[in-house]
Amino acid sequence: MSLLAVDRLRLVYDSGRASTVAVEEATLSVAEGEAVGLVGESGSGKSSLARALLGLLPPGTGRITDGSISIAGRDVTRLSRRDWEKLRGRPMAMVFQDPLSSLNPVMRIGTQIGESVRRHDHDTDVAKRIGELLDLVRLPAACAGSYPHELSGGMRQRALLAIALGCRPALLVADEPTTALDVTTQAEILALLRELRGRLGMALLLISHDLGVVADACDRVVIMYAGRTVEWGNTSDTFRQPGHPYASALLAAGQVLRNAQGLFVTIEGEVGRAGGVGCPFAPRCPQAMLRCHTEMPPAFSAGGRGHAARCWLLEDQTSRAAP
Amino acid sequence: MTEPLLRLVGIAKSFHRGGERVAAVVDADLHVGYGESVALVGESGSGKSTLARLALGLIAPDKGHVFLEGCCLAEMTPAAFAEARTAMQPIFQDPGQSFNPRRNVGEALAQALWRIPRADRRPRSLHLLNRVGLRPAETILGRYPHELSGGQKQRLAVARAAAMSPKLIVADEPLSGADVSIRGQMLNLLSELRRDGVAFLMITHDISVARAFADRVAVMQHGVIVESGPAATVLERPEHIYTRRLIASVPPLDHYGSA
Repeated sequence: MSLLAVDRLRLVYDSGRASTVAVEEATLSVAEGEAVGLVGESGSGKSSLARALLGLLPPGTGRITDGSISIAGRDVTRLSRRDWEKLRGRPMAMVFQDPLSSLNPVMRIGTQIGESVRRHDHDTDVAKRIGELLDLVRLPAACAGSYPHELSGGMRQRALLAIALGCRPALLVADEPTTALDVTTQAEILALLRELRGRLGMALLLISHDLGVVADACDRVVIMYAGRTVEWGNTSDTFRQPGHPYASALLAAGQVLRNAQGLFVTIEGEVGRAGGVGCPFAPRCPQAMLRCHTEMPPAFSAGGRGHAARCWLLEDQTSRAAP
Repeated sequence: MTEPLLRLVGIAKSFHRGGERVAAVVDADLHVGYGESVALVGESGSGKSTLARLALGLIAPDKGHVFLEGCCLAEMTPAAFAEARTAMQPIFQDPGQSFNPRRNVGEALAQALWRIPRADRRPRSLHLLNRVGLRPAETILGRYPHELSGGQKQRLAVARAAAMSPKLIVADEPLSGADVSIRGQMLNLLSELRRDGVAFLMITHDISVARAFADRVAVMQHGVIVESGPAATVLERPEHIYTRRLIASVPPLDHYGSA
């Protein structure tokens, strides 16, 4: 059974009379202990999807119009705010890009970790557990007495991790956890995440625009474009032999490669928006066919087991893949 | 040795912070030859942006000298300094913040083209917009910055920098706000200016951009240039331990084959 399963989710934001589609037919799953990377550029809907599966959509404006989300077998698509409160922390905890805005600026780090510990473990020795958690994220014990502003960016992200781990989550959702950090600090945090997964058997959903980060930290990858999940599969299959033209172009662009003419590889045009007809990548796709502009392709197998992409180019080569 | 286009000699700069002086740049030497592209690599707080502002003459060094074509910026007459500022054009990270929101594209470009006759400004603006791929140029002229996407604003920033036919472009993280899929478009634009003979001082934290774009690379840490040399040497056979650490920290993608 999947710890997290999102099935053909559609999500819209209402503003005034207009409503904007942010996510359409998004499908993904995370099994116990697995690390899955959700990759996309700005506007791909990856953060909206993350908010939806944490029950954090802005009330009154963001709503799910189709599809479902289930956590540990329980359908949470239309859960009330109060019921969401019970799910947060355990089984699912989260860390965000900017730790400073997630931490309380006037509360000591130790106190903030203590809050999350007390919430789920009522009988535990809180002081001892705070010490264990700081040790787990490789922060000196003295940090318990520090305020967030006294810590560096990397230390704050570690403190945030300690708070999340205080809940003993089965799944950690991390939305761009290293984007605001320098590369050397990023490498440390990625190593820490890998180590924590090994020690705690925790599953990870890592949301990032950085393909390198995902390749480094994840077993499986899901690629989003314009609100849709367009390709998914095991990380090495997907990155070695991408099925979707968007995925291959993104990989080439991510490596700052040059083509035969000596030009840098790029994808012409602007990043597409969700909610159109046909494949959202068709306007920028060098291999687009007439059909691509009118009809969204289903998922076709892209080679490896569980590796599939939503692209008509794969239709002739293979049979339809299970989503 | 012939005099390079830009030469920074023994530059130092510190700032006041909370009652103490914090050194941002310590005894830095750097040069950029005519038509050469130099990448300045380092992490946040390494002083690379301060060095860029010093090179542009936006701030004055505490110690040391900045020479443009052999003339020291600090000793220039106001007229010569204005001339130097035209020859060195900046491109900043956030194109949204480098445009006056109340001026449309035509006005922004006309302002940059203040030295050419009024009647020539519009045709020259149209030419520049076409060159950076902002088409149809006539329509774009009437647009305001908020009506352009992030990628379009970055192209406009390039167009504006190119408007003055500069000898040097100092680009401070010009790509870090751009999505991966359109980063190549920006690099191709900058490469085109390089082919026209424009030299570049590119400040970046992205090793792969430095590798792709620069002839020479200088690595900065804590205000000190710890290593510099030809891009291939510095990035493939780094000598300084910090350079090695910086390169090793980037999660590699290139062991994956790609289209």
